[in-house]
Amino acid sequence: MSNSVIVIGGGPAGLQAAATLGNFGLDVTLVEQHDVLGGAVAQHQYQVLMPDFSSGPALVARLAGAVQNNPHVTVVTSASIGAVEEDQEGFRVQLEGSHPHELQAQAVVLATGFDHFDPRRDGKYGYGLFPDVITGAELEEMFAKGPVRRPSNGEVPQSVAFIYCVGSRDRQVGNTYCSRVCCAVSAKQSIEIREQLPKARISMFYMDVRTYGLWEDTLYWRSQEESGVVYVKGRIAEVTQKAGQPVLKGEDTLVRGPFEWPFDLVVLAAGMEPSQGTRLLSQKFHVDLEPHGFVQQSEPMRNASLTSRPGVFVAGSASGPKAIEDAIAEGDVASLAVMQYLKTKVVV
Amino acid sequence: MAKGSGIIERSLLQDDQIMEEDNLVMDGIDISGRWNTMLKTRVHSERDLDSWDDVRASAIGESIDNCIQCGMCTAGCTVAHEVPGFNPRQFIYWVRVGRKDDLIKNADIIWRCVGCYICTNHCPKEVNTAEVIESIGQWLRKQVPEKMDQAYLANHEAYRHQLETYGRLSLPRLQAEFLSKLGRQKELFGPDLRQAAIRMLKDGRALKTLLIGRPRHWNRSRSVLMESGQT
Ligand SMILES: Cc1cc2nc3c(=O)[nH]c(=O)nc-3n(C[C@H](O)[C@H](O)[C@H](O)COP(=O)(O)OP(=O)(O)OC[C@H]3O[C@@H](n4cnc5c(N)ncnc54)[C@H](O)[C@@H]3O)c2cc1C
Ligand code: SF4
Ligand code: SF4
Ligand code: SF4
Repeated sequence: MSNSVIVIGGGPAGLQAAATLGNFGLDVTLVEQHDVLGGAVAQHQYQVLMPDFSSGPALVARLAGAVQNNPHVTVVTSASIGAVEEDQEGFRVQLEGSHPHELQAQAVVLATGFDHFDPRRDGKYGYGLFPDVITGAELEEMFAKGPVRRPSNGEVPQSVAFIYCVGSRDRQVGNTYCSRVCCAVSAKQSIEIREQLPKARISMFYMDVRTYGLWEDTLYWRSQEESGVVYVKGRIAEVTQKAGQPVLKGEDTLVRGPFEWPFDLVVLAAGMEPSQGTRLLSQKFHVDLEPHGFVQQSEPMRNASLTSRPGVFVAGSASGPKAIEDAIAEGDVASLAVMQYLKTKVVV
Repeated sequence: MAKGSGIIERSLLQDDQIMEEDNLVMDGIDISGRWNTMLKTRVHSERDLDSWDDVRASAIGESIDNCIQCGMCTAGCTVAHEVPGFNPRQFIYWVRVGRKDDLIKNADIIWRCVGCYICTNHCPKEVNTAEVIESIGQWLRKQVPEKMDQAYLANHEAYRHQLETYGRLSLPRLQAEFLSKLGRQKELFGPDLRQAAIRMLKDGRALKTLLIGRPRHWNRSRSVLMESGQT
C-alpha cells in the first residue's frame, strides 16, 4: 500500500497540512464537510486578518489553490466521516456524502477546528433578543457585505461597545480557558470601524487585555493611540434595552462604581469551543481529549501534533484556541510528524 | 475657620486627610493658626492580613481566593447601584490586600447587602460572593461592633438567638425580639403590625407559626452548629 494520508477539515490547518504532504509526494485525501474550503475564514468571510491586516479572501485562495492544483491531493467536499476501522494495514474510513466510498490510509490528521461559542447560552448579554447585539463573527460578515450599520434600523452607529470574554474564562458557562485571539481580533475590528466611522464612540469592556507577544503595540496600543478607542476595565453583568438601544450594566473597576451606558451597537467577542467535528472524530478515532474538550496533545514538548493514538495527528484549533498563523504552522508540524511516522513504520 | 481652609485646591482633599489643631505647641514653639495644617500621608504602609486569614478559613468565605476582580458582582448588584460605597468586589479586594482601615471605614455599609445572591449567580469564577460578603461583615462585627448601626446589630442578635432557641425563624417572633432589643416595642402594636396580626390570626397563620415547634433532635443540631461558630 502506498503512503496515504487522510486530512479531515479544510480550514487553514488542514489545507496547509494537505498541501505540504502532497508536495512531498504523499497520497493525500482532504475531507471537508462544507462545500467551501477555508474553514472559519471562508465561512464568516473575514476580509482583513489579524494581526497584519492582510486579506482573508487572498489567504483562502492561496491555501485552497495549493491543494486544488496539487496532483497528489484529492479534495472531497460536502462529505463526512462514517465508520472507522483500524487493522495492520492502517485505517479504513467510510466516506459519506454524494459519493460514498471507502478510504484507506496509514495516517490521519484531525484538523476539524473550532465552533464559535453561541451567546444564547449566556442569557445576560441579550443576544438573540436585541437586534443590535451581534457577535464578532457577525461583524466580520457585516464588513464583507458593506459598511457597518445597526441591524435594528440600518442607521450608522454613533457608539459601539465590545464585550470581551463572552463564553470564555467563565465557570458559569463551563469554559474556563481563554480563547486567545478575541482580544486582538476585537482591537483589529475597532480599528476597522474607526476607518469607516470617524466620529463613533468606541469602548472596549475587558477584564484583561491579552494582545500577547508582538500584538501589544501593533493592535492594542494602535487602537488607542491612532483610533481613539477607549478601554474600560470591568466585566459586563447584563445587557438590557431602553428606548431602542442596548444598555450595558457594568462596574468600572478602576474608578470603582457601577454604570449603565447605552450603545448603538454591541459586539460580543464570543470565544472558541471544540467544534462538533472535533468532538465526534475524537471519538471515532479514539483519541484522548484534554480537560476543556479539545484534542489532547500527548507530547507537546516533542511535536505539537502528536495525540494519544499513534497514526492519528492533530493540527490547528482542534487542539485549543489559536490564531490562523499558528493553525497554519501546525499544518506543517503535523506533516513532519506524519512523514516521520510513515518512515519508521515502513522500516519496522 | 473651616478645616483646611488655607489650602489651595482644598477640593482635592478629603476631610480625614487633614490634621489641624486650634492651638498647637511643638517643642515649646506655638504654631497655632493656619501654619499647623498638616496632611496625612497617602501612602499605605501597614498591611493587615488577618481579615483574609479569617474569611478564607470560614465556611462561607472560603471561595474568596477564586476572585479575579472582574467586577461582574458589583455590576449586577442590587445595592451597589443605590448605595454609594457599597461594592462587593471592593470589599473582597480590601480583604485580600490587607486594607483594614478601608474595611473599618465601611464597616457599616457592608451590612446594606440584601442577600439577593445575584452576585453569586453571575460570578464567572464561582465565588460565592454573597456569602463572602457576609463573612467579611461578620469579621467586621467582631472587630468593630461599635461601628455597626444598632439596628444591624440588633437584627443579627435576634436572628442568632431565635435560631439557637427554636431551630426555625418565625417572622412574628423575630420582629418582636428585634424591636424590643431596640426599645421600640411600641411599634409592635402600631396600626400596621396590628392589622397584620389580626389578619394572621383570622386565617390561622399565627397559630400555625407558633405551634410549629422545633426541628427533630434540634438540641443535637444546635450544639454542632454553635460549636462550629459559624452562626
Ligand atoms: C470572530 C473571529 C475572528 C477571527 N479572526 C482572526 C484573524 O483575523 N486572524 C487570526 O489569526 N485568527 C482569527 N481567528 C481565529 C481563526 O478563525 C482560527 O485560528 C482558524 O480558523 C483556525 O483554523 P483551523 O483550520 O484550525 O479551524 P477552522 O477554521 O475551524 O476549520 C476547520 C474546518 O474543519 C471542517 N470540519 C469540522 N468537522 C468536520 C468533519 N467532521 N468532517 C469534515 N470536516 C470537518 C470545518 O467545516 C472547517 O472547514 C478568528 C476567530 C474568531 C472567532
Ligand atoms: S483573548 Fe481576550 S477576550 Fe478572548 S477570552 Fe482571552 S482575555 Fe477574553
Ligand atoms: S464576580 Fe466573582 S470574580 Fe468577579 S469580582 Fe466579583 S467575586 Fe470576584
Ligand atoms: S447578595 Fe448582596 S452583594 Fe450580592 S448582589 Fe445582592 S446585595 Fe449585592
